[in-house]
Amino acid sequence: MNRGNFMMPDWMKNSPNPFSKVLIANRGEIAVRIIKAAREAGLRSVAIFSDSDKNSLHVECADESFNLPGESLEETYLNIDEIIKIAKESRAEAIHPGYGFLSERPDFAKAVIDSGLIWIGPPSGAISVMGDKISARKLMIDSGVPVIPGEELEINENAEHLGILASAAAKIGYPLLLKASAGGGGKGMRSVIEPRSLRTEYEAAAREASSAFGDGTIYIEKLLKNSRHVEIQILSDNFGKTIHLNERDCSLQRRFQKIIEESPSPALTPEIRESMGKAAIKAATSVGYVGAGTVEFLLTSNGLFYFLEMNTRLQVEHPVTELLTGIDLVQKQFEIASGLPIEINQEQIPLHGHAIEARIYAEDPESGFLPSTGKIEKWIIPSGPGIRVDSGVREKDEISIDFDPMLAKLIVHDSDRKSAIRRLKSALSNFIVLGVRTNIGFMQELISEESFISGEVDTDFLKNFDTSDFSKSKIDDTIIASFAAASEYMGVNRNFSEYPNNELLGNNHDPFNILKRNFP
Amino acid sequence: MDWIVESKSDRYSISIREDSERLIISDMKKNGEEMPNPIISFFRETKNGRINIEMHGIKKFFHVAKSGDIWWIHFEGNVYTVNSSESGASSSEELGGLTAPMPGTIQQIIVKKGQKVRSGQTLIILEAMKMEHKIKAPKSGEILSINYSVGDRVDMGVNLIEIG
Repeated sequence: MNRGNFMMPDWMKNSPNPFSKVLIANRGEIAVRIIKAAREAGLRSVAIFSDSDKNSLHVECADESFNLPGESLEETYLNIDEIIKIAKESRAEAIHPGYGFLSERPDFAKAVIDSGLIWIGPPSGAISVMGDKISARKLMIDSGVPVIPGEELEINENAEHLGILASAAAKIGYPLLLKASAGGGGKGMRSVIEPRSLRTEYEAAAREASSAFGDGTIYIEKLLKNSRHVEIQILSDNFGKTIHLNERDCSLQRRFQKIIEESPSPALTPEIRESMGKAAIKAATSVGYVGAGTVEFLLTSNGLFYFLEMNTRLQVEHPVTELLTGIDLVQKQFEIASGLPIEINQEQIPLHGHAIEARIYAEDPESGFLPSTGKIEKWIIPSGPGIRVDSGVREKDEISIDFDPMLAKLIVHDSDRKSAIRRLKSALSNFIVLGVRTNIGFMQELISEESFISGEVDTDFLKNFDTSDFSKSKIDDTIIASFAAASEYMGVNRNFSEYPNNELLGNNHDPFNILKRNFP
Repeated sequence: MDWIVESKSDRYSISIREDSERLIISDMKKNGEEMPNPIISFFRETKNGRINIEMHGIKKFFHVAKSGDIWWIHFEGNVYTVNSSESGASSSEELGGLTAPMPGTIQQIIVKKGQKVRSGQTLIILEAMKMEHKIKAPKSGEILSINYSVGDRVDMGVNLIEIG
């Protein structure tokens, strides 16, 4: 491997498989996150971008960037052959897939490894097993990890399929959840409250699953009401060691999409944390996991937990764990991928204070959360102790419906939950986004709710939350109208930074400025 | 110049006066009726869209940016949008202006400038969220102007077409 002027970063000195350059097969905020981490780690970074991402932040942050021409995702961010070709052309030695896109595609992992590059992720076999809900469930049962009462059904579209479905449903009992085996992100999931809705809900879920993931297999499980979504972050190295880095409570979801995540979970006792941690480690070990991963559980109101699924990649909400433990997960991914062992032991994993993440989306809560588009005319992010913003957008970026509407993640950390909520409220009110509607105002209302403050939120919370109800603490329209009138009068929409008015410059020591005054 | 806050039906007409280094409201009407002037003064020196004000003796500030026809304001943790229209003129809808009900792409423009149309006639087809939306004439009249072309991506609320 020709590394030219590569100076081995000291953390990589003892690595069996060192690498100097990494290609990030992703875009947006996670690409920015990984590219910045690479820079910090002393590695060079390669970005890929589609035509519409030509001027995006992640491209600007990387050392090198390569265009993937094309309109569809298959031609760009999902183009395995092109991406590997670019990696070779740029002499990248490792590929980090981020989250979403190709991160959980076993064929991509295999292709990367087969082409002689380092894959920053788990073995493709682990991805396959955990990617299929049915096989994952079977493995968990065999490994002694508790699973939700349910039945694995391979349904073929023949004459008896509805009969098979109905009898399995009767056995499990209502209410139940129909889940597409290859689904995810809320797609292909339908709840069935009573037997007479079974057929229509099944057909809808099968259609959704087919169109989103190309696979119509479905299985059913008992729907556990009033439960919380609690996940455990794990790290595994190449030497068979797996540790967990505590939990994240992701119960605040809208239509199965997470919007607020926090740690520690208000519902966890040290005993439950220990059992859950052990179960997560068992799950990871059962597939020979390597790298950073997350095991998701459903926690019922009586303290029992059940395996939901394992995400064989870095997660969106990973910063919550980073702020809580002080451990940089992307750096750990680099270390593990280079063959280094995990040196920290389970007993040493910190759990400091409380961290909360709020996902900022370009959507309009007042119109039923329709996606919002437009140009970000103003983008001012909050800052200060315990405030972190991960984002892939900046001022003047155009927000379109093409990609994920998440604009940024705002994560706060403080000494306890109450203080963290206070800090989050303040940070949200100082997060200025103009030009595109966001859910910032909605989130401020949400975290002011009694049930959120008391920590009693479960996954059904937002279903019962009437968004048209909340009264914003808004100021009188006459004030706002006068603000606009004054702005118009002052000509504020003119770009002052491009055409500075001499009187406003104020720098009297600038020779050119003085010249202008004396010699008009 | 009339001001409309958050697409509500009230129209404000506001006059600004200079008062040494600041600006103050010299006249305010709501739907044509006189209103007490808000006790706000605006500092004339402004940078990067941040305007400093004094409100009932307390120093505060807000941020403002204009996007197309819409003024966006961020003040004390909340975001507001304001539209303006020429004084005395009717609202966009009354004039026969049609706005986009949601962000999308102009898929088809069925009419031409100068064409006479009936109330209810489909004028434009907008593609949004993988569905087609027919934009129909709210009244009969003549197409005065078509503000976009096929293939253009439009934001919610933009004026697509004028009928007179």
